[in-house]
Amino acid sequence: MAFSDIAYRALQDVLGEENATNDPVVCQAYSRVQWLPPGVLQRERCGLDMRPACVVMPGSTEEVQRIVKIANRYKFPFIPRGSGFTFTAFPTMAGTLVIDPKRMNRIVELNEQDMYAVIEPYVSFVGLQSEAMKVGLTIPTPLAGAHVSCLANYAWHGAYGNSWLTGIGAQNLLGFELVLPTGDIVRSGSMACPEAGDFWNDGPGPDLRGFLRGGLFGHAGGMGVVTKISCKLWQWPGPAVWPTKGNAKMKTSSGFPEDQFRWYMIKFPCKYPEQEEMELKKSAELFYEMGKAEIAAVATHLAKQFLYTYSSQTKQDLFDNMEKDVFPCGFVVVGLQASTSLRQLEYEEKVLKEMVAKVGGIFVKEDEPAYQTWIGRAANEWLRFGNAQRLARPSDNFSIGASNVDSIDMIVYDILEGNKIERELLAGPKHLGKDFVQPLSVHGGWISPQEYGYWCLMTTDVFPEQAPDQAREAIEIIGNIARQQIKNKSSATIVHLLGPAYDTLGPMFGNIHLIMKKFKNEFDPHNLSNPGYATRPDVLSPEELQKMAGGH
Amino acid sequence: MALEKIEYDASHCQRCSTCKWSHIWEIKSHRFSRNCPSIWYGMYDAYAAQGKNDIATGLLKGEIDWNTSREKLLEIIYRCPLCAACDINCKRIMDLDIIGVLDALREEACEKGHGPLPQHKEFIQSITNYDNVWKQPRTRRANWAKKLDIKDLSKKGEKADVLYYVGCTYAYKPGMETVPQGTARIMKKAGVDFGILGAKEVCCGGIADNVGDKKSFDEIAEKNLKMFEEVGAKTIVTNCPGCYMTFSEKYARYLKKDTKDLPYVVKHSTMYIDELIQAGKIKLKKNLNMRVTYHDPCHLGRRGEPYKHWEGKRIQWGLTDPPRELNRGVNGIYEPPRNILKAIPGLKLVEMERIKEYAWCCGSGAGSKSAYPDFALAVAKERIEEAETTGASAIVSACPWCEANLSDGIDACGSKMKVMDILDVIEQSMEG
Repeated sequence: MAFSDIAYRALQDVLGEENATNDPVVCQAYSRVQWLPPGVLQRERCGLDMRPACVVMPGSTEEVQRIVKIANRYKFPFIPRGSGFTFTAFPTMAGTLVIDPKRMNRIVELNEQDMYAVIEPYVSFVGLQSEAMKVGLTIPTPLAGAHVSCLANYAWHGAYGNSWLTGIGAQNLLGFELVLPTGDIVRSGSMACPEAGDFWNDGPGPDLRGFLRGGLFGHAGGMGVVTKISCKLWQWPGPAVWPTKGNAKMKTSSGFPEDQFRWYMIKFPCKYPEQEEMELKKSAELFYEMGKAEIAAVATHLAKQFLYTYSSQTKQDLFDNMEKDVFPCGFVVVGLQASTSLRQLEYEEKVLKEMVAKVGGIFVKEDEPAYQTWIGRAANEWLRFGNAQRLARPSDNFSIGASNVDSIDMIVYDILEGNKIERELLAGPKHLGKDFVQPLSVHGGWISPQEYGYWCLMTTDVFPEQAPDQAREAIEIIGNIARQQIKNKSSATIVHLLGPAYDTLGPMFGNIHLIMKKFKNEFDPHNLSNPGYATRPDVLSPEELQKMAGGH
Repeated sequence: MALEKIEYDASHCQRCSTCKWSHIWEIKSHRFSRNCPSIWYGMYDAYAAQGKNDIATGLLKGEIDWNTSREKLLEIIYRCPLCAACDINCKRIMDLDIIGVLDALREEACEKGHGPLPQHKEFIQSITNYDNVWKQPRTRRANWAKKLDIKDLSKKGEKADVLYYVGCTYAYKPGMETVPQGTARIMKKAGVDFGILGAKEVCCGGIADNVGDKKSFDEIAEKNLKMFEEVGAKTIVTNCPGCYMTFSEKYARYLKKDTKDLPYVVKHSTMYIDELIQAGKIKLKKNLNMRVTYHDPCHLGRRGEPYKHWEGKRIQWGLTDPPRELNRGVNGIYEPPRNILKAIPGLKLVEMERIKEYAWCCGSGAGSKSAYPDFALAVAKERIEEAETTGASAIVSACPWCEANLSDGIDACGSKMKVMDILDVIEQSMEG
């Protein structure tokens, strides 16, 4: 595979000179991803091969189609990307084309009546939400930050701050338009039926959303370029514009009317970390009770590491708060919203109070530092974004230590196991994680019940510095946790390894990796669509797998 | 090597794109959700702070050099008004000195002999030759003050409580002299004991620092600081946000001091007049039936925050030793101009979507208008389109550079809006 001058000229002919560049300085700005250990190691491994040979900016689906056909003609790899937040959007080999979607930033349709929007790849969550709010609607609030591409996040199965109500990306994706790696166009859901409206995720033929998402955690641009999606919108009882007036003063949270939104922090008094198990199990019990009653818009359990990072105003502030033990343990955070009326909110509040009392929880008082720090600074942000960008604040880098989707009970079990392993590795002979931000890195546990607790998502995070040796240490920790998850027959998902993860974990999921490889071979016969991270077309041997996973 | 100072900051960008947009809380619409003029216009990531971080890191690691694509590299570095919107937004997430990276790229360009750009050199040469950026004779610097009977503090024996520093643009630009004249009349009415430097006033030198020519800047700063000392300036008032920021932030940085420890206090005229209004020394009586919107100049707003000097190093986890308090834009001068406008009878102030530390830049700062006029004009047009959505008949500002560029934007848009300097608005309300 190579990127030639002829290919470059062909791209310029299609897009115009200003929308295709091979200038090395411009391309340099697409060459560096440094967060998450795989990003750090990718840079070490690939070096300058991470700099794309060319960057293009198509303005329409037709232009994307022509780019992909040129890639097939001249056999060079290409990577579609959204805002470029994650490491899968970066080349792993020389001669790669990066497709930057900035010119495709239109909200094509915002359908108030049927509560959906059709958008192009560079529409951000916050851009879509700000328009939806004007007509009393909203979107799930992305943890990755509301500046990221809404489309890319949905295709990746993004997790959300309010997914207790909304579920993750997959549940909100109603349809899509995809330029396959061959250049053919596929549309899914009712988007596939001209004039039908883009409101419904089922359409003629098989549900292609699974094809888009790949086996586990997003197709990572491995099955072509998504050029349009239709996504579900949700009721928004709040103001038509976000109620801020500039100048945050770093102390205040954006205010919402109390008759439309109320926040609660709930604790289960315990000696932490010794009674962590009780605290997590009680939290799960509360979620199950709330799920039965179908109340609340936000319900989540945040471990210390998330509370400190998400509410931080500066790095120093974060470390100062840790010193002051502002969050002595994890907390349940609940947000109620008056989707229909004040009476509904008051009813839900009453039910919540009964349930908290039933499971032995205590509402954190307004004058407690934990309440002032979380509710005062961060809570309302969860109605727009989930603060997870701030996970990088402790060490200017971070890594997901463990992640999983399962039942709430199983998630609690996984968190306990994950924290236990991390603590043992830290205390063990190699002291893994000793240079990470500690003890923050071993106080993990985000319980994120989805769709009223129907299922659940979790992560625990670690905070290494950007150095390759610490990245390797983080991956060793992740490997240890993942092996234990597999041993426990937990549905472990490892977003970090993607390609290898399909092969490693596929057998646990009915050999889904094998069918994905067949798809890949059929629709990307030259393996051009993000070959570095997507499903590999070939079946890997255990030895190759071991090697790809960095020995872990 | 200027870049070595910011190696940590440039290389720890996590590519979250916060630098490319207004802060998440502040966004009111998809249309006006962007905050960085440079990438808004240039489109490719290279024009964003994120891209410039990658480029700075690439230069430091030898992955690219100044001859890799010199013209494009200089365009990426200089087609940016240094408005610091990227910097302020980034700090809601991280603790990186992004404006330090942008400054260092310019400084390095100059150190290596590639910068500043020819248009910038003209400004600096003009300061060397004439003490002003507009190639005008020194003798005409105080022409605006004729017939106003103002003390010239550069003359032996003259003393005053306040040094009124006019700045090159208000002093020389035709049509802008009404602003210093109005300021002088207002201060006289309020009974302020003030004086000017007359023909001895020297450019603040902010432009030299902005384009990376630190050597020239240091020389100009030294000259001005000496003059301030000679005339015993304890309080300096200026109408120009560029001069305000230079005296407040850049001179403090040059002297390695906090702004609060400078031998003088510098106030923008809106701060000073707001204080005079609060003290009842001037009255805004005349009804002005106008609906106006206010444009925050970057150098008065997010870049107008007092400087806190720091010398130290990054330690484990990126913490700093000693702890460093970074400028986050929240303590800029946002309320004084608004207080003044709200105090004018009949005048209705309506806000745009992007205001205060999240304001959209006019596009003319840091040499971008002289070197890239098309860019500056496009950015101004974007601001005018935003201002028009408020239904205001005028966009009021407090900066000569913003006003000139926004006026060009209005002409290019065919807009019926007017651009007004806040001092002219104040004077109108004081008449009678």
